[in-house]
Amino acid sequence: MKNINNQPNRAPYLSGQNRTRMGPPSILVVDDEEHILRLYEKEFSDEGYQVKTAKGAEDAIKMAQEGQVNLVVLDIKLEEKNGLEILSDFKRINKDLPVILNSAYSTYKSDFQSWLADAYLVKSSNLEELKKTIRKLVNF
Amino acid sequence: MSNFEKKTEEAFVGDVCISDLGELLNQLPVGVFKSDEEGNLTYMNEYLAQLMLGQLVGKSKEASSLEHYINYVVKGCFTSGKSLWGEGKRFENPKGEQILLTLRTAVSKHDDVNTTNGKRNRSVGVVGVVEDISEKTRLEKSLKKKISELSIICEVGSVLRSTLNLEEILKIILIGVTANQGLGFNRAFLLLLNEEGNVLEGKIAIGPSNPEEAKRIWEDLSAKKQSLEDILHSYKDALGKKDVLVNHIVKKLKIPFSEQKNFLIQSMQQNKACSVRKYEVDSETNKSIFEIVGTDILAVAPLVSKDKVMGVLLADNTINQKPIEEEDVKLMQIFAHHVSTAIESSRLYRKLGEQVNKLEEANKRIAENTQRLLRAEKLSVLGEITSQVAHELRNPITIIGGFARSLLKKRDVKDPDYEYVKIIAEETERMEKVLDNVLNFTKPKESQLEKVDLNQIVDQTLDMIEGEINLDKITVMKYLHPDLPPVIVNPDQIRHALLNLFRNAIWAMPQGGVLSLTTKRKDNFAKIGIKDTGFGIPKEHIDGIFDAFFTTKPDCCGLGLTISSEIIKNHGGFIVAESEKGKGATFSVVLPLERSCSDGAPNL
Repeated sequence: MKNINNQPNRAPYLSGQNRTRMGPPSILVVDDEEHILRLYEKEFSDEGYQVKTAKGAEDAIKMAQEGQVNLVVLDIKLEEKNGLEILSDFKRINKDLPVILNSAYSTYKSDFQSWLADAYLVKSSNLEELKKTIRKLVNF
Repeated sequence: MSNFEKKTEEAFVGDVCISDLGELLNQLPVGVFKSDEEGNLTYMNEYLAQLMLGQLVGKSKEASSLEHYINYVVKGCFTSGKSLWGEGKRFENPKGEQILLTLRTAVSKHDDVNTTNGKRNRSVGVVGVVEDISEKTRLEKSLKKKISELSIICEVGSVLRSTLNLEEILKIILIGVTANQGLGFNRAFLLLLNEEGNVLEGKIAIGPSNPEEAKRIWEDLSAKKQSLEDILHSYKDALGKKDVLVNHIVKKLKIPFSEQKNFLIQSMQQNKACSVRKYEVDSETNKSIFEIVGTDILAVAPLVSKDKVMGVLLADNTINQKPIEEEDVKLMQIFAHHVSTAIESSRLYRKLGEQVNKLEEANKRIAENTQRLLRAEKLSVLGEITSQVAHELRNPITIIGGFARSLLKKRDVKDPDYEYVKIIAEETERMEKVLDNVLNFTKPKESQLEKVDLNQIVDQTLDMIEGEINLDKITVMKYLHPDLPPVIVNPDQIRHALLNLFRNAIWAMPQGGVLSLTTKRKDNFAKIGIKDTGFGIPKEHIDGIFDAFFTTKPDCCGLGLTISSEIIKNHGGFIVAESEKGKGATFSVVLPLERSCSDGAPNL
């Protein structure tokens, strides 16, 4: 299985002038596990990103609508709304907003809905692959 | 010729006038006579007088008169002092008919009353009755015959009931037809309709090959004095041997059921037994049956049970040339009727046996499958639990390992804790590998690739949306390549991809039009063309139509073409769209022909 959906037609999302605001790109992490949020927040901040976190769909959508997000790292198994549905919502709001699905499960890769994501990575304590994908997608 | 003079006596016994009695005696349909004490006949009635004009059969001329015979018996009565009788004397009556007579006598002692002086004289004489018993004997004979026929059928029936084995039944039938205690024919042949019911085939036969063999067998049989049942039991094993002449003959008999002019087929169709002579039949095939069997006259009885024609029974008397009587044919028909039921029962029993076997087989398979399912279910439950646990562990391990790595980055290698944190990071990595292995083992099966005919997939997809096509407005044209090589794909996914494209084409033609579906082969690719005559795609949109959420349909989310495109890409192919506004659109789905199954599932 490939880790990133191969969609050559789609241009990498961000270039400098398209950023919603100046400064480092803003990454939204959506996960219902507090400690995952803490880990990702710390690690991505260390990389120089602005990090926002949301535990559920409502907060996440709100942030995306406010246009303060440049990329989303999205868990799938969430307590209320399934990550795949939130993915559709994100794409409806802004189809150019890059979304990385990041789940403990690899099985959602066969779900048509997951194909909308720009990348699909299975959770791992080694965050290098995730960071690399983010860098590529936000051109940072 | 009688020189006897009729005497009339007038006397009274009570109020009855003896002369009246004489008149009465004359009316009787039996002969009555009386003799005096010397044995001379003193009275005979009219009936006997008439009989006297005939003669006994097989006697010398002097001894052939009935009077001579009566005198002889009467004298015997006097000599022995007993009443005597003669039974079943063959006699030719004055009309020249052969009849059977019986003579009964009684020595009578009675008192004669002298009418003049009233004195009683005791006199001795013989009275006798001569009776024509031809009719009675004939009836008795026919009754006996009927009883014997019934007992044959009964005996054969009881033996038949002892088996449901078709081969045994056929042998019993043949023995029944040929045994002397049975129908007594010389030879018998049995022909049955094949399973398809279109050919009448000779199965088995019985009978001696030549007069010498016949003599030997018949003498052997009569010496043993076996009952029919014994014969049936002791000879059925010896029957059906291939080296016997009759079995060679019977195997040569093969008649198509469609041959309406064949006398065997006719007998079966009309359910009528008959005897047929060689000179009576006209067609060559009919004549050939007599030639194959080697006889001039055949008794034929159809085997029919509940309107089901099963075959035909043939019998002849070619060895001893005994004529085949109508009675023989009739009895054979009754016999055939009974054995038909037995054959039918045997066939039903066999069918039942086959059904039972099938059921048993099916039951066995069900039991095996149940076991397999149970095992699979156990494994699947185990897999589910394992997968659940593994996934639950993934998050905490990610967190522990993630933080450990995070800590490591900031610590100096010389820091005394560095090594410990490194151990945590390494150990979590090890745990993650274990999880990966477990999850790889338990993950659901990959979508199956199959070798399929794309034309069939196109047809099936068309069937799926049949209800959505308004056939009054939209004409569907198919131009499918007849020799398109198979492709190895996930058929469900390809159908899904085509479904979206078909729907899109139909949606583009609200005013109606033509949907053309083509399949072609080009080099190592198969191409499916979906062409509509709808409103087309504006130039500026054509590049974006496969992007997610791109749609011009007001009530649609814009994922259909994206999904189709993704599916085809994952199968190593691509979709090309060509269109001009107002002139319809053509989507070409291109799939590679050569993909081996070992490639696994398409990348999803």
